[in-house]
Amino acid sequence: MLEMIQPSLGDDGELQLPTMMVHPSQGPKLVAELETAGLDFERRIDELKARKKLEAEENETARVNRFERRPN
Amino acid sequence: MRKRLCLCVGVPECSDPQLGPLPGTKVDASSVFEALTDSAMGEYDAVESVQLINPSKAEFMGALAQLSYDPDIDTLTIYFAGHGVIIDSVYYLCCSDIELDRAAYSGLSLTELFQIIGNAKPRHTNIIIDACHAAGVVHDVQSLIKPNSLGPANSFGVSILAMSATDQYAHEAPPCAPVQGGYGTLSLLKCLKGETDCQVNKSHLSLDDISKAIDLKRDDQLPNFWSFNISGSPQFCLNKSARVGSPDSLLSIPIFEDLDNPTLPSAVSEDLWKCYLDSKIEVELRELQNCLERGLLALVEPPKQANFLIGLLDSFKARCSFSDDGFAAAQINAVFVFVAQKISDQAVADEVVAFIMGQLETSLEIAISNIHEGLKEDFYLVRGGGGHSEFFSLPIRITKIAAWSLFYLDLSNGNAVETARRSKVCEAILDALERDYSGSISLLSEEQAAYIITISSLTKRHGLTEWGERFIGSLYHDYFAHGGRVARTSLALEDTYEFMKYRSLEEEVDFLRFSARPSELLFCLFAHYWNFDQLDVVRYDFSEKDGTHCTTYIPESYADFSGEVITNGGNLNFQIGHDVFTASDFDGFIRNYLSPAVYAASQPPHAMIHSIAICASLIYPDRIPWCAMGGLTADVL
Repeated sequence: MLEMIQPSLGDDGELQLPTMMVHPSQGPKLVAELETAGLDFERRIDELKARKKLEAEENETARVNRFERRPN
Repeated sequence: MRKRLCLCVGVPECSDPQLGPLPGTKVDASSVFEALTDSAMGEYDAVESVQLINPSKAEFMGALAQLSYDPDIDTLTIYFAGHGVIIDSVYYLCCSDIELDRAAYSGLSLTELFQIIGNAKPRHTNIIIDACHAAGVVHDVQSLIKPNSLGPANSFGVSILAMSATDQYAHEAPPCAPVQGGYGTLSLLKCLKGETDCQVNKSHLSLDDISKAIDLKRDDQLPNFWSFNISGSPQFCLNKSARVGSPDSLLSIPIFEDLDNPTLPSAVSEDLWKCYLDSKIEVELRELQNCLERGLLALVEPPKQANFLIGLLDSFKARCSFSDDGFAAAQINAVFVFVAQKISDQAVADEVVAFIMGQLETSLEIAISNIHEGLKEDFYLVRGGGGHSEFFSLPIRITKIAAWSLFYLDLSNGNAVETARRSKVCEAILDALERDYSGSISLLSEEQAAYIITISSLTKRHGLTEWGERFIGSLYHDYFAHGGRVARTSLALEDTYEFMKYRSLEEEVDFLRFSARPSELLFCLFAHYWNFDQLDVVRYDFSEKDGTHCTTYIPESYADFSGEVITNGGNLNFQIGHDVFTASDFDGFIRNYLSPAVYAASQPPHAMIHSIAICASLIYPDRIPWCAMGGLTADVL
């Protein structure tokens, strides 16, 4: 699911990650599953975030470049 | 033809020894009778009208009944010159047989007068009292002409002119003076004869018009006036003081035949009466418009609706002449125009709208002339000239005066001589604003957006582009210099100080409490540069407002642009840095979205409708008169 999301950058230059809302009864179960997912899962998530941040930075640069700027 | 009858009474001598002789009252009653029954002045029926000198109370009441109950009567005018006294908070006119210690029995109170008039119901009654303490009638007036108190008779119109205040005497010219009579009556006669300019361009004057023009030039005697009329324009006398242009330019007052008198629901009458009393100080225009619209809805029949508006217009205009806002009368006229558009028959609506628009022009002419003259004085606007001098509202006021001046010029379309004359006045005002108030040319509020579009559109239309460029350019730079910190429309008075403090801060602060988001103002500023074909000038500024949401509302039709809520229209939105990045994007947005929407809302193209729409945005600046911007519709065509 995270693969399909294109998060944007916040004012602090960091990714604005999505928030997941679940029923209170499902919360502990989800946390437990994430904690037991293992190092491989964590590494994949970190890689994905880094890639998404890079993509977002590229998008933002492209977006900002669409403005006309005063020639220096 | 329905009859116009007058009863002129002079009481020079009373039997009560406490009341001295008033020889001038005989001259006054005769002079007024003569003027009113003159076919070139008053047009009252000379045969059936009555003049009484030194009548008893019974004779006065008998004559009043005879005239009031005439089945063909349309207008009744009662003039009284003599002693007036206030006893136990009741005002009495003194006839020859008055006994002050038995005043309740022998004096003539307005209550008695109204019982007859209310029962007989002439279409309109004028009462003129040139007597001491004449405004003492206020106690009776407040309860008697208050429509709800009139019960079944709440359909007739009445105007009362009292020539002195409650605590004042009504003075007479001294015996050695070249002209004899009471000062109040002499001033009235000057209006009747056209020697005093009543500054009205109607064919007939109402007592309301005269009350505004009467000037006794005395500090110890001030006239008072009340009027409430829902049955067409009261025609007190012919207008011989045509101020504007030739007699040909006089507006004839539309007359709508109506077999029975209109009756308003009590709740509407009460609300209108409240608006009327409040309008002496400050007119709450939206409240007035809502009241009038409810009255219009209740009356149903177009002639009644027309007479209702034409009648009340005079009352409100006379009342608001006390207001310190130079544009008060123009604004009142504008509100009546908005309501007249809703008369249920189009032909009647068109006639009434045209008539009131004519009066709006006259009111505007007076307001603009006064401002033109006033601006020659130092700090005129800062000292409250033209109304509103507060530090927060002065910049808004300056933008507003510029927009109103240009609107005044725009109304002269089609008449080259008049356009040239108004153009001179308008240019002088604009130059004075720029020269003397440059420090106050600031953007403080979203409500200036409507004025900016009006100024941009009309300066371009009338060849004043250089001034428009400089003025709006100053506002534009002020906007960016303060980081776009402007107040939302109608910011509460208690928030203005806090807002001004925040506005001057250098660091980023959250203005959500004060500001409108999304902003219509920034849209309008960029649109001005589009209108002047100068988007190039601002093309680098879009990046500075990255992320700003801009919006505007386009109605379904500009024919209905004055309502509190305008339904069936649509918002046009864009976000800088998302939909619009460059001047070219903005140009595309205007051509692809704004122009077609404005074009559709401007159909059928009708100059009067566009003028009224501009006027609506000047009165209610929470809406933008895009229809004024010729380039928008021309682009689609």
